[in-house]
Amino acid sequence: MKPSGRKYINLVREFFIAEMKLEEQGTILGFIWILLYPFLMLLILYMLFSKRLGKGIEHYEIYLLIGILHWEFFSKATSKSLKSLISKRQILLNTYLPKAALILSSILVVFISFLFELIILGGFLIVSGVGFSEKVLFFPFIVLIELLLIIAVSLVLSCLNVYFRDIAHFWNVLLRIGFFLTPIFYPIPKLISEGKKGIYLLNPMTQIIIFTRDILLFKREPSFMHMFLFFSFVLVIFTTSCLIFKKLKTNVLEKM
Amino acid sequence: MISLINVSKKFIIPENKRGTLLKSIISNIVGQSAHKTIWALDKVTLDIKRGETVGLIGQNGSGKSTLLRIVQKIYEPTSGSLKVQGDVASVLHLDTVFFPDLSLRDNIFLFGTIMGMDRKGISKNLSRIMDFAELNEFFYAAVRTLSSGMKQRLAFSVILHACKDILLFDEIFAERDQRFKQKCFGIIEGLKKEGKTILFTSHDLNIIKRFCDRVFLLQNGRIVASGDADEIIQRYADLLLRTDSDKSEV
Repeated sequence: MKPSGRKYINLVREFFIAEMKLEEQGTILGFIWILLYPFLMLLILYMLFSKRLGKGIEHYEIYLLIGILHWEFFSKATSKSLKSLISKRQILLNTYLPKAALILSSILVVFISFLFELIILGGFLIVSGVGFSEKVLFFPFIVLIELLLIIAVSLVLSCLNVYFRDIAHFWNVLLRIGFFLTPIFYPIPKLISEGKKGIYLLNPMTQIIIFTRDILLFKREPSFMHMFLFFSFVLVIFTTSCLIFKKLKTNVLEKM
Repeated sequence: MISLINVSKKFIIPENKRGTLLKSIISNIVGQSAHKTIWALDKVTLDIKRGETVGLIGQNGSGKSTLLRIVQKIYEPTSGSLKVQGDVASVLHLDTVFFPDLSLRDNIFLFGTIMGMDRKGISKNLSRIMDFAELNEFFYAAVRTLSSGMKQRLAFSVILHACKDILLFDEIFAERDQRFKQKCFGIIEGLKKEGKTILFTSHDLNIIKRFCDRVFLLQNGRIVASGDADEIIQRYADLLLRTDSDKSEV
């Protein structure tokens, strides 16, 4: 039975609660592990690069942290939700469950830890003296665009992963490459050709990170045109992915 | 009310081992058609009215589970149409719906929501669900500590308390505990009186005879007979005999 709106939300919430409980079960430090990783990354990358690639960037630690947190969110959320259908094979074959609800609840789990990390980022901003400006009000909009992007990727990947079990490996490799092709620990090189610059700019995560740095670190208001174009770009990706998902999901259970 | 008109369901089974992207691409290039088509259901037409209890019988592989999955909308028909009016609460194999590492309490909330209940409704019914399943001392225990029979009791209990109009089961009476079985029989009688629509499969023909207003006999994805329980059970018995004698001739 396809559930109504209220029931759909209930399902996403309940799966979210179940997955949260499963994540922190049996671990000693529990939730802390989830937060620890990006800050360890921050420490390592800062020590490695602050004197070289990071030279000349004011508050490099915050510059870095913004890149790390966004990338972490994207890569963890997509990697986790990729498996959300195949891991629930048994229950999907025995009772009706809306597949998107399962994918959304996986993403939500990672989103919650992202929110906690943002709070800590806020702490860094205060401690480093950067503080906040009213431009920070643009930030939720950037997060929304990021969520749309993550949902778009997850919807398609989770279905493909049922058809081809090695999608998970492919994605893992792509993410590793992506980490280096996204200006997380370095700025986009100034003296590169337009073509190479295009590679950076086509990567939506680059834009998200640049926007966030503008808003939070440099306290610059992003250009309306620029944001609007980017939002439209991600919206197109999102709409396309929903159409692909609609097609793929009809037969995905037969392949399980 | 459940209505199927000319519903067919096709499965494509790979003939050799694939499943990775690389092998798939290679076999496509080489032009190998490594597929076999199986029609699990072949132009099935049936109508179940509200308040009816219907049994599906047939040998293993005749398409019973596929039919139930189509009605639940787990699978979509390859062709034909399906119409279901009313809320469905069902689980094919009752011991598969729980998260083994979560407690019974957490699982009841999750499964109850899957069955269409809201948090408030589940909280209200929590003690009744546990009482019916006779699992009170396991409330905070992980579901993996339960036996298969206990899990089935719990799932059945939640489904009952979800109070939906249409119930579908696949071999729920495989549960061997006689006492609980009798309890369930009493419940099923009660559900019938309430006007619930029930569709189930069973290899236990006594149960089919006891509860079903109508029975459908499936063979090779087709409905070969339908009617009242005694008649169809006899047809089934004849069919099995014929199949056996065919086999012994070979």
